[in-house]
Amino acid sequence: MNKANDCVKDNLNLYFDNAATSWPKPEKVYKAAEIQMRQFCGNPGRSGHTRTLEADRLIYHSREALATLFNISDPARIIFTLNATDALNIALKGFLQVGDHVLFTAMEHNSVLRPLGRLRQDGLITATMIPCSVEGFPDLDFLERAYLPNTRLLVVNHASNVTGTIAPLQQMIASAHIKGVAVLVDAAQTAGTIPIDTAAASIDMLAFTGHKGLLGPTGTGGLYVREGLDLKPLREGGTGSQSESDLHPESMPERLEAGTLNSAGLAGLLEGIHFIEQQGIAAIREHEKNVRTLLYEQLQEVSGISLYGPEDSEKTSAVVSFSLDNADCGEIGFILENSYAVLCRTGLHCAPLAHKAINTFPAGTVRLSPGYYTRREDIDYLVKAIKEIAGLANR
Amino acid sequence: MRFTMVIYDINLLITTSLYLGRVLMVRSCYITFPTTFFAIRAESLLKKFSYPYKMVPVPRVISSSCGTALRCDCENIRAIRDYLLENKLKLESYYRLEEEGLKISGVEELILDE
Repeated sequence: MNKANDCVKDNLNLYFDNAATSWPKPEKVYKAAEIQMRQFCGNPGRSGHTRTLEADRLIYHSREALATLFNISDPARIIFTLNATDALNIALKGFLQVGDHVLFTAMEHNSVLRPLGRLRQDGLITATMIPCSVEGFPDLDFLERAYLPNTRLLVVNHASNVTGTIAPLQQMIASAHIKGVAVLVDAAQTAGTIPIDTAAASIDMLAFTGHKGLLGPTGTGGLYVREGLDLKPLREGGTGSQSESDLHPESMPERLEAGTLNSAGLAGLLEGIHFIEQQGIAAIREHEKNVRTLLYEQLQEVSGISLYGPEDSEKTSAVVSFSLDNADCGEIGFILENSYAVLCRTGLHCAPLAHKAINTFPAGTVRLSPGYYTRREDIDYLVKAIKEIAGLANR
Repeated sequence: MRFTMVIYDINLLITTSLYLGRVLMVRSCYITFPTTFFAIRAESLLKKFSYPYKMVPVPRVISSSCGTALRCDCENIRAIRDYLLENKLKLESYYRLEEEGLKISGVEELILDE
């Protein structure tokens, strides 16, 4: 069996783990990363020869493509990072100062919870969790009462990686801005699949990854920082500019980027963004909504199933979390892979507070995350498999 | 007697030197940038502009923050500068260089009025 494609069976795409990383990628993504390494492998910003300039151009165009996708007027305000976790660390540790108070929702991922945990443990900041409903929606009344005089930042997960629940960004940003509080949006689950208008939404900082909805390779991601916010850099070093100075350049994007960028990864990412532009993000969103609705509706017929997150796919990303009576979610995942070639993710999904909010802690859930390449027949097969497993569990 | 010919069109320099087999002198102007981001943005913007230019490694006689500079004909530098500033680019400095073969025989920093 071809291990690389062991979730492709009878012409079905049984990869249901797009919330972890998207697969497959558009063909051009694979090719662009290879061509970048083979033919244009210069160190961006360094040597000044033609390959270096080619790498510089690629990085510039990737920045510009992201700026267009997220409606950001100045591409220099976007920095490239390893992934969303890296971007969130740069944002949190670069923005927060000693004595600051932070608000965050219960749906946050460990990529937010752990950097905040470290800053709290070191006695540098204080933080308050905004509780969420069983469907994963933040309690906006609680938010209104949670601001302190030293609150400087609100962190919001745009869509939960556990339930798919989309946070009411507009209301939360409006609320924070009235109090003079900046907003950091974690778009790990939404960049590339749900339209984000950074300017219209007045987002202060936007963290995203390149290897999920943007369809790029792993090791790519970024952070948008609005003009006027000057983050303290986590890393300093080579940029290819101002080499005589022993201090890191202050102008963006170099300010928050040190060391050689992942040009092969970014070449793939740029093709991922081009693919999204060609298909249209609205069409991608529509397709993902349809497959998510189909999945949710069919799963409702499974006996002994509990489904988490809102029923209405308009209010979620393409994620469905479930559990079965009398079955351990890890076992379900194991059988799905070994008997049905279905790949998914089980457990706590790096979001323990989200599972507490939806009452699935510590058992966790089975998470199914279809993608743009998922079709109706894939869903039919998947639901049939889950029905059989539920039958076994309740025998 | 040494033959010296002054060529202003930078794109003709290499081909003409090869053809004549002699050291030629070229006068060209340079715009430097604070960071690579602005250098590449300049290149991207100038594609829509008619003046010839080339992105080159910064000659060591020039002090620049970024390793890539824009080389152009001196008669066009003001127009190029104005166009880039109109597009909110950050530029660092402007220079005129006299290059003879591999040697740089003259460097002058230019003060361009607004």
